[in-house]
Amino acid sequence: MIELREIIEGCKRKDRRHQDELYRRYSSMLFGLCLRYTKSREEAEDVLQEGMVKIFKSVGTYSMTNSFEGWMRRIVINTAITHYRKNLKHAYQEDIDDTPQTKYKEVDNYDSDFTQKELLGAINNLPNGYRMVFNMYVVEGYKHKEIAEMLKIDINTSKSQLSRAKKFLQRELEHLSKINM
Amino acid sequence: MNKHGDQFLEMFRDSFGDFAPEVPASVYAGVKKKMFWSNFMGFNIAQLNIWYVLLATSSIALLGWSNLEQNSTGILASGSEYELKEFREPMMASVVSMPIEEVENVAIQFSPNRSTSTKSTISSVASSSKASCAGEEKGVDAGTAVAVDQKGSAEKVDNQVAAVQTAVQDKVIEEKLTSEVELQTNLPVNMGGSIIENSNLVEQLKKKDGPIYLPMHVKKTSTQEQ
Repeated sequence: MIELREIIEGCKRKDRRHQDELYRRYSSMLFGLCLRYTKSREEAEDVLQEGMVKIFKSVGTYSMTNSFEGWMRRIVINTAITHYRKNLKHAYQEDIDDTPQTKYKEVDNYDSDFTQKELLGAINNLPNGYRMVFNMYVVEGYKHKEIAEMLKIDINTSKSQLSRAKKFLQRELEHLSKINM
Repeated sequence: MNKHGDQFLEMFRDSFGDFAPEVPASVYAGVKKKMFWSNFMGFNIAQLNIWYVLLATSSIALLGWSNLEQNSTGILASGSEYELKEFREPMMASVVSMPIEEVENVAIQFSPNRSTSTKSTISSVASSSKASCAGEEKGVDAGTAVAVDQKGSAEKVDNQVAAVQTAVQDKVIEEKLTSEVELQTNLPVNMGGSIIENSNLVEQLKKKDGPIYLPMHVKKTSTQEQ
């Protein structure tokens, strides 16, 4: 088994064997990340492809002090954000203030019977802006300030989008649990 | 964030913490393709890229161009049989078809002013005879015929007849020569079997005084040798 350091050094030399090994090890994890940030599988494949090319190209700039996995995740998330921004030009953007404030009954107890696929389906149904903030805050663990900087939005926008994403998902899961019962 | 909210978000965090679905093979094929083009379009000493291809292409093109130029200069300088043929072609459209070995330089003399000089002679003779005839008629009209000596008058008549005959003969010769010249102009000049068509040489020669020597390549034929 090749050491991670050796793989990174090989990728810096643009060695094909080490690039293959890097892809084999991390592509699935990164593809999962892409699936959460995009609306469809095809979009996720495009983002992963672009992200991997960026990783191979900029691996020379990676310093060994930080986590390599974290570094790669960051690159792929940035690629997903770029993809999201590109799509904003073509897609209808729902203004946050125009979204009706609907009251959702908070569910007291969430059973963990929801499968990964069901949860992913619910995330994919989120509006683009909600999905970005929700993933970055909940799964990646970014702060609202960081999210605001990365998405170039206001901090309050980030907070309100997270709140609305949660409510949207609660409604989705409630609807899903009714079907399953 | 309240307890319920934490629990709700925790459910997602746990579900996607180790989320690693299978990646389609086409994704890495696309990555490789993009990497190839990226490497090809960028400059790298160690790898073949567009700069090397451009350098090679331009070198080949330059080499080809310089070779072409050398060949064309060589053609002009060498004067090979083939190229000589090329240069002769406008002048000797049909003569060049014969092999060089069978050709020799021949000087042909033209005398196009022969007819012109003859013409002038004829006209002078004709005018003198006309004058004498006119003088005779004048004398007859004046009624001086009786006073004229019979012998002298007979001689005069003979002279007049001779002058008229000469004039007639000259006129016949003039017509013959003119027709010969016209014949030469209209027909292509035939020189020992090789024909130069569309030539205005005869016209040019007619305008000049004195003999003109025209160097021509004439093929030896069996009839000439005989």
